[in-house]
Amino acid sequence: MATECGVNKSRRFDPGMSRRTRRSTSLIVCYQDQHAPSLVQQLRQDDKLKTLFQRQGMELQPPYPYEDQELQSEGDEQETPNRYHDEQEEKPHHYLDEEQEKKPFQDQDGERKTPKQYLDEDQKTVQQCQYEDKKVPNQCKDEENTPGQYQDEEQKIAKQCKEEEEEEEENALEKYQDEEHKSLKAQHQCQDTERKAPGQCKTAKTKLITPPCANDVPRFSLQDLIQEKQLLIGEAKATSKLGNGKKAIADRKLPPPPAASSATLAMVIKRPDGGKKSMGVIRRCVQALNQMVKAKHGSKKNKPPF
Amino acid sequence: GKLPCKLDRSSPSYDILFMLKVLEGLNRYSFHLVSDERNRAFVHGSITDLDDLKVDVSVVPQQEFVSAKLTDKLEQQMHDPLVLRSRCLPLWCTELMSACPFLFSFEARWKYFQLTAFGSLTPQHGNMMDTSGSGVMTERVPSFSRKKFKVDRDNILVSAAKVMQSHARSNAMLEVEYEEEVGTGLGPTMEFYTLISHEFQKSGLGMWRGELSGEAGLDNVHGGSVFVVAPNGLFPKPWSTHVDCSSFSEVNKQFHLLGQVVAKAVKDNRILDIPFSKAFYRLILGQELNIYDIHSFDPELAMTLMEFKALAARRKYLESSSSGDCKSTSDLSYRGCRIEDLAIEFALPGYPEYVLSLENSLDNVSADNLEQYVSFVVDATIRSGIARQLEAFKSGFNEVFPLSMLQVFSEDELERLLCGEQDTWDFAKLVDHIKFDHGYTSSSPPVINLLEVIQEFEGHQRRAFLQFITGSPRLPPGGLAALNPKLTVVRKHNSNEADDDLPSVMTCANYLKLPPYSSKDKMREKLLYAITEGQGSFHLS
Repeated sequence: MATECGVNKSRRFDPGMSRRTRRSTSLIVCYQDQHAPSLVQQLRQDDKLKTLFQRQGMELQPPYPYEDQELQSEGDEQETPNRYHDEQEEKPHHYLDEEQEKKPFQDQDGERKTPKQYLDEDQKTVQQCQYEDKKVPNQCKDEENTPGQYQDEEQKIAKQCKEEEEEEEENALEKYQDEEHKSLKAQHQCQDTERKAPGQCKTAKTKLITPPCANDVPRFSLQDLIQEKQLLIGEAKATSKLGNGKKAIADRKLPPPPAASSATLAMVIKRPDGGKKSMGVIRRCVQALNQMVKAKHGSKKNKPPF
Repeated sequence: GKLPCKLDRSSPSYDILFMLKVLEGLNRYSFHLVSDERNRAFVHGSITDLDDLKVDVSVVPQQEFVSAKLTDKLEQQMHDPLVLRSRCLPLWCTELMSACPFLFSFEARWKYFQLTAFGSLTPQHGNMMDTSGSGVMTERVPSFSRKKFKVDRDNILVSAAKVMQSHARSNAMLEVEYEEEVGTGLGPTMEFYTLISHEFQKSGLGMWRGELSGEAGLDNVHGGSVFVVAPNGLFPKPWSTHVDCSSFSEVNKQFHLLGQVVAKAVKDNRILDIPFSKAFYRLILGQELNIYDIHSFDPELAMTLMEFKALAARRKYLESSSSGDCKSTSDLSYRGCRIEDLAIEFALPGYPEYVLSLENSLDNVSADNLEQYVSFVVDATIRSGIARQLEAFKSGFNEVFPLSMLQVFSEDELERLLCGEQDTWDFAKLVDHIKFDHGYTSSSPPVINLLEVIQEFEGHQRRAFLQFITGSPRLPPGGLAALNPKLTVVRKHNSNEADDDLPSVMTCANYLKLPPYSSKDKMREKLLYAITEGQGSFHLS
């Protein structure tokens, strides 16, 4: 049991890191890209649950089905190293990118945030483990039934498992759609508030991360935490862009995505060129020549000053 | 094509310099280019009305081509003590100035000219270019000196010839006084150049093309003299090689003397009162003229020649395109008349004694010889007919300093250097640039009356006023602000009644002694009397 919990922990943490490698220069695209992998993560969770259930069910089957289980286990074992290698390969690039873009202050912020995230994930892991532990006694009790009913019960169990799997899939899909819809709303609200005032934007962001209540106790789900991380990363990027004039100028040169055209236009409006007059071809040539003239004063050399 | 300099052609700056050189040329010759294009359009039938051959172009101001950075660099080099002593500027300065003088400001080029031609940045008597008062005064190398001559006011050309014969090659500044007059110094010298300028404009000398007039708005010192009227500026009169040599010999001498006087005036920073045409300035600068340049000194002749040229070219074009159809070519007419019916003699317009061609001397202009006629007239007007006079002028000029030194200037700038400039006489400017002293301030009633009177003067009265005070009817380049010494008005004290006294001046110091007249009308009366009747002599006051 302890071993299984460790594997889940590493796998749950890695997707977040892997998603960081798919960064985009546009704030909107960053949100979209960061949100997209949630479906993959959900599917992975489903796979884990399936694996768990299959293993538990197979323990009660005759030796012949056990061979099938071994084959499946081998398949799982083969997959794990590949995933691990992929993640390892992705880390350096991601790390270098972050290192280049982050400022010392941001690095400190990043360091401050990591322990909390780690603790949260640990707590989640523990909770899931406890929940899984609670399930085991119920299943053991079922084993006390008579042999005559064993075959019937096996069939029932199999059927129930299938039904449960289908229900879980539907719930997962619905949940994913709801989450996606919420995130889109959040992005829209965020865009609207950005045009109004930074304070309002902060307020909207605060609302987004309000945890749902379960038995009158606020609990952050994995999805909420992922969204919070995305928002924080997006905020950091926006801050760095606004704070660095060169980047702001460079970003304006890039062709903005269609969804962000209004935001870009607003930025352009806020930073006019100052009404420069266009020069004729003669003055432009003279200006170009002036730029070639060396700035050094008092030069006594016979060479031309450009 | 390439730039006439030794700059590295692979350098990006060479490309920009070449581009600017082309643009400057297009700007300078825009009238010629547009005129030629219009002519071609008529030849090919795009336009059919001769009136459409007229063009009106606007040019970009020369200031647009000036590079402030390069000008500063040049100024730094010219103020370097080693350069001043050795008179050796870095090669890039001379190369760029030769290839692209338009890149530098007029003031910088003036200093460059002074340094390269005479070895100093400014003459000793002041820097008329620098109106800010921060000019650098340096001694001429060799040291500055003056040479004084006594001349006969009634025979100014003969006197001038003698002066130049012995003084043209001298580095000393010329100073003039007049026989039987006690005044000497700057004023009489300035008036000497003015008197010579007027003498050169007399029609009897046979120097210039134009009509004859007795007054022409000039100072008619000698009663009955006839001056050339050239509204668009003076241009040499064509002289045929077939005329009497003795007659032309005198004309040649006058052009030689004119060259000496012009060069001396430039060298000593004196002002001439002679209105050369733009085309003549171009000739001085060594530029070739073409048919379109005639427009600058004789617009009517230029227009007629351009129309004739277009007709002749049109006829040739039609003949080459449809050789079988003789009717269309023969039907070419000039404003409704056949060329033959115009009854134009095959001679130079305005100068029938000038023989254009021995073969056609007895013929009239026709459609067959129209092209030849235009070619001969153009050649006589701006080339062969004036070639000898131009050579004489250049020969005289080069005796003082090399004429090629002037090529850093444009024709407009050369006119400005030689003849000064007209200045606006608004009240504020007068107050700013006139000094009031010895009993007068800017708010004194007599001063206010004076400023109002001279502001109300006509053009010829202003010229007379300036000549009365300075010796020259024109202001130096830079206008009133560049007048050195500064125009000063002082109160004239006299034991008699002020209204009975006349104003007097010290021309060496541009000093006007003005009695405190009782009224503005009285001041105008006395002032006009003085500036008109007080000319022609320098005595102590």
